[in-house]
Amino acid sequence: MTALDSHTQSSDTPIRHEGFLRHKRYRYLKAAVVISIVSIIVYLFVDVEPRHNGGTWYGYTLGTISTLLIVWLMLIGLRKRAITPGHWNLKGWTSAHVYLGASLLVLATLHTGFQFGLNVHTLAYTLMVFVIISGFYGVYFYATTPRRMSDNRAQRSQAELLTAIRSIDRQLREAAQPLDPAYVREVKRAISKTKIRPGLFTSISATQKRCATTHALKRLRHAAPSAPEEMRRPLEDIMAILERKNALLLRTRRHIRFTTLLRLWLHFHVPLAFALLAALVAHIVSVFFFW
Amino acid sequence: MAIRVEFIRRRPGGRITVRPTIYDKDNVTFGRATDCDVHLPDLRVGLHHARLICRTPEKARIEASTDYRVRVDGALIRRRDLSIDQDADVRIGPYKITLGPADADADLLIEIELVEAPTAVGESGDEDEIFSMKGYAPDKRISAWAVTVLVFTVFLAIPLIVYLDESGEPRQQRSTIDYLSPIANQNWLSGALSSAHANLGANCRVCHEQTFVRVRDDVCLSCHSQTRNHAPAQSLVAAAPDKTTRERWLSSLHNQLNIPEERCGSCHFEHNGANGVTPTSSSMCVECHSSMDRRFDETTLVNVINFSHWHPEFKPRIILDPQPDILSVQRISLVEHPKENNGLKFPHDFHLKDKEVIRKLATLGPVSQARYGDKLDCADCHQVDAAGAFITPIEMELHCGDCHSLAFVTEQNANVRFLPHGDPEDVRATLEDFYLAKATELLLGDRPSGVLERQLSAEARARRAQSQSSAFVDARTNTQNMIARIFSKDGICQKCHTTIDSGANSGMPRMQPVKLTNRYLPKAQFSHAQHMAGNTDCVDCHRAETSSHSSDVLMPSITVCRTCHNDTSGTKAIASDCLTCHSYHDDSNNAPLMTSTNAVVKFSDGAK
Repeated sequence: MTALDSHTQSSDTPIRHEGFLRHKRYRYLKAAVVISIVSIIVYLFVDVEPRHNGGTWYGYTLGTISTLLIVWLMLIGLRKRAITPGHWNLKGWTSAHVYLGASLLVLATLHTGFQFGLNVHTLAYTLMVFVIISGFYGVYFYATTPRRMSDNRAQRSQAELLTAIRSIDRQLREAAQPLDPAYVREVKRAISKTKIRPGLFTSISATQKRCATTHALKRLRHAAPSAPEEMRRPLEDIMAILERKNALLLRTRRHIRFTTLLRLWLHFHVPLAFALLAALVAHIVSVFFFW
Repeated sequence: MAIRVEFIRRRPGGRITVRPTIYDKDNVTFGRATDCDVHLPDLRVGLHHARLICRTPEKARIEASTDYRVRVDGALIRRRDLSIDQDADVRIGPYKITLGPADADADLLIEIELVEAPTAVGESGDEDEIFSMKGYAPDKRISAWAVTVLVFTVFLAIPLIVYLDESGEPRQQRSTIDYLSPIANQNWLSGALSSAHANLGANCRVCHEQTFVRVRDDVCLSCHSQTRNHAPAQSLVAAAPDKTTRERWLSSLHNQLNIPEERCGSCHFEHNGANGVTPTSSSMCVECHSSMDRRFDETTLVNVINFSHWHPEFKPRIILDPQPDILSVQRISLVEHPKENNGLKFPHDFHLKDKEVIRKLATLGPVSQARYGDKLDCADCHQVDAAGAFITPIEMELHCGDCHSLAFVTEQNANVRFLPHGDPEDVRATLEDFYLAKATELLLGDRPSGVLERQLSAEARARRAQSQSSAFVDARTNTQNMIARIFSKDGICQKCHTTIDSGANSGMPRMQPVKLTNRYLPKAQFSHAQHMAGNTDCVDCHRAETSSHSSDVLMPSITVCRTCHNDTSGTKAIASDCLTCHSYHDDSNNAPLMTSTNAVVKFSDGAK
């Protein structure tokens, strides 16, 4: 086994990879749990008039903490662009981002005092909940997708996947030389009409329907038994190549699906986070404007 | 064993170059990695792709490493035995590998030729296109800007624009602002207004006069100008407990931020729903009242912590002497079993149960019988007022008069004459008027009606002249006799009243005045109507059936209330906080808390 093999097959090696979720033995998970429990206990036992909401001293405290936390959580966008080594490495930040971000679900909910309405205040809360939920999706995909992705690629780079498909196309062209025009048309269609990248929803659902290669293979397979004797052998070659192409396309599309899943949540997470920041500013201004 | 590897390259013009290498071992490795024996620099080839093992000079075996396959005759295989004469098409990536017969130098010949075009490694335009989010989702930066601007516009800019516009002169015509105004108000509304203030919701500025300043008391008082304070400011300060560290810290924070404390809004929190504006928790009251005697000498109030265990026994208002000039009233705790001196003789038990009363009721006319039935009950005399709160004052004519009739004569035309109730002088005047009128009639009327003058005998005429001559003297005598009878020991008045002075000197007796208490507990609110629901009866709380003297105070003890009322609600308990009975800003005259010096003591006349 080569050095490259041993690196990628981490599950077989004794060196344990510590991801951002497990960073420093779940330091920030513990911190988030402690913060949440303490805030719930205080919420239950503190006596505020007339009832819990954002306007009591405890409400203001929770609101201030939550606001600062949201601003800090959003700074990860700057932090990840500034590469620094050391104690506060990006993995630590990400770990804290995930767990402390999740603890906002408790802090901000207690801040609301369970008073909701159709207004900017509940809008800010709702946006925050959506940001956190999209973040949970991100965590899930970050935790599960990379391994499946690398298993899927089988040590090839994504560029290599494309090169391999192109190479198969060349082989197809080469192998189709002795065929009759009717068969050649199918092969040509498989070469030129195959769209590696499907639409968003097809990509996420990872189906191979409506793929020109699959289609050509099906037609040729159907036609092969009735083909003339001298066509049999080249047709079989072509079908074998098409099957390889099909398999490769499946891998490539799965790869596209994985890269999409790894990024798509961010397209909700980031804009919603900015919308939340705007709503938060409006919330704070409105509350003190008409104090 | 030795293996000869030849790289074959076809040059333009049909020239062929061969680059041979001899490996003095029985296997060679193929791969893209430079440490492979045969370096195949193409991306379609794995780093350590395969190994070819020479078995005999004619036979070899090709083995792909874990993640790769070798294509033999179009099929991807993991390992395959090959022979020279087999002429198999062996491919590793774009390279074709052919086995050939050995020569003098080696046992096996391997020819390698690049048969497919080499892959373009640097070509990455496609890759960016295919593996990016292009077409799948808009750029994050663009969408972030878009939603941020949208939220700012709708939830910050519009309310601010509406605010700035509303601060100007009112316009004649409706404009866009008027349509935006409800949206702006709704956007910023922090919670539903209380039902009392719901009409103010259209314009935030009615209460929020100044921006970034808490609603000031002036704004509240502009409508609630009649609201009384709980106590004078200095008393409130004196009675308040010492501030805790947190409160001191909050106070100093408020001072630094110029935020006023002890506002209307310190207790009354708006935007908390329909009933939210009035605080209901007892904790705010208990804060001061739990240990007030330690801080505030002037108070006569006993400490209160809760209703169920730490509330003093009721102290009803007890009349000790009903004389108007020395009217003496004291609040005496029921613990001391106070006795009242209201000037009235009234045994409740007799009226509710005695046979004499039942017999008397049977003699009444049909209207009265329909009213009372065959025996008296509480509601026959005690009626709840229109608000359902208190019992209307007792009036003699209305509540007693049917049995204790003040009728003193029925005239010839069936007209019943009643004595007035309340003032002995009035009684005397009424009787005097009546008898003088009779005397006048006698003087004017010379004969009884229906009898002719000539039909009268001489004796009758003499008797008439006699009575006419003494008419006024008789009237006075009759009046005095009547008064003596009425006010005598067995007279009608003495049934309920006592005589202070028999009137031997002045001619008129003096009666003990009656004062009935209208509200025994003036500092508490109570609704009889609410308590009379279900099977509750008056005597469940007021023990009238066993009371034989009007001096008995029939107010129920706090323990009676506690059978149903508790601090928190439960299966058999009704939650009761301070405001269930008391009021903080009571603006009625009857129950101003802590401002007893201003209290107007109001009793029912009761003795009309």
